[in-house]
Amino acid sequence: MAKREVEEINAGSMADIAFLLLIFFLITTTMNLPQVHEERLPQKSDVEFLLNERNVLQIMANKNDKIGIEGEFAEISDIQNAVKKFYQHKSGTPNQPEYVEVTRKICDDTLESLENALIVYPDAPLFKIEQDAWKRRLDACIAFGDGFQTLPNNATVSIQLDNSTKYVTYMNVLDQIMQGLNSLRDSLCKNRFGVPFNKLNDKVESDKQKISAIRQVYPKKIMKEKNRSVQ
Amino acid sequence: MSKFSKGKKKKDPAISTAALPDIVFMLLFFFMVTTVFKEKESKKLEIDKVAIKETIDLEKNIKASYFWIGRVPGKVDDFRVQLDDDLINDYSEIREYLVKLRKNPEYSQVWDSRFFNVFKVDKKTEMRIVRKVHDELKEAEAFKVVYSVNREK
Repeated sequence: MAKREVEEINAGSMADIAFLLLIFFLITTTMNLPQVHEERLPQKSDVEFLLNERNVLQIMANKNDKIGIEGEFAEISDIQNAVKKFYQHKSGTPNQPEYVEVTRKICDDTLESLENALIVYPDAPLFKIEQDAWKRRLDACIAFGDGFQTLPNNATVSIQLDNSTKYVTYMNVLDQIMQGLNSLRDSLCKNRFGVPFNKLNDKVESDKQKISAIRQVYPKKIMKEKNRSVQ
Repeated sequence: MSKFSKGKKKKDPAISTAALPDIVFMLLFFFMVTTVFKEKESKKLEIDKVAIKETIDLEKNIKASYFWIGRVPGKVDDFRVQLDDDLINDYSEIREYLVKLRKNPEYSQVWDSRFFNVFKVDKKTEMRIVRKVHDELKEAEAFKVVYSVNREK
C-alpha cells in the first residue's frame, strides 16, 4: 500500500468558532447588579407638619416586631391591602383621602397662576416645587391622553418604629408597601398602555414618560416618623 | 523480529498547534464573561442580609460611601457600625468622614445626584442604631440612602 502523508487539518475556521462563542456569551450574560431599596432621608427641619388624619396611613411596629395599622394590631401581610385601599378606593370613602382631580385644563391654569406668582416672588422655593410638581402632572396628562385622579400632596404612608424594632421588620414593611404600590401601578399600566409596569425601560424616552406618568398617579410617599416607643 | 515490522520506524507528523491560541482565547473569554464580581463585603462584621421581593437595581457609575452594621464575630449582641474600612467608636466620626469626603471635587460634583450611602445591615439590628447613623447623614447633608438586600424569588 502506498504511504500517504497525513494532511494537516485546516484550522482557519477555528477563529470563527471562537468568535461565535465569544459573541454568544457576550450577549447572553447579564451582570448581576446589586439589589437595593432606595430611600431619601428628610431634610432636617423644625417645621411641624399638621396632617389631616384621613390623609395618613399609619403603620407601626413595636419593640416585639408586632405590626399595627391605623392603631390596630395586624399581620405584616395586611399592609399590602391597606396600602392598595389607601391609594385606590371609592371617592368619598370615610377615613380615606379625598382624591385630587387632575386634567389638562387644571394643570394649565395652575401653572399659569404659579408663573404669575413667581414673577412677584421670584425666590419663593415653595412655588418652584409646586411648579415642578404641576409640570410633571401636565406631562402625565399628555402621556395618558386625558386627566386622572391622584392623592392630595400631603397624603402619605407613615411608618412609626420603636427604637428596638428589628431592621428586618422595617425592611419587610417597606417591601409590603412597595408590593402594594407596584401591583396598582402594574394594573394601571396594563390598562392604559397594555404592557406590564416592570417591562418599561427607563432608558427609552417614550417608556420614561410612561413611567413618570404612572408614578404621578401612584406616587411613592413614605414618611418615617421619629423613633419613639409605641405601646 | 516481528513479522509485521516495518523495518525503519516512521516519524509521526507534528500535530498542528495553530488552533491552540484559539482554544486559550475561548477559555479566557468564557471566564471573563461568566465571572461575577463579588460584592464588597465586611471583614470585621457578620452580616445576615434581609431578603425582600420588591427591589431595584443599584445605579451604575455611582460614588458611594459604605456602611455596614452587624455583629462582631464571636459575640452575641455586640452590634457595631463599620464605615468604609474601619469600625467607628463614636457616631460623630460619620459626619467628619462625610464632610471630608465632600471637599473632594470628585464627590462634591455629584453629591446631590449620584452620591449614595450604601447600607448593609444585619437582620437583627435594632432600629436605634440605623437611626443614629441616619441622623449623622442628615447633619452632613447626605440624603440618599440605599439598603443593599437580597432579592427574594
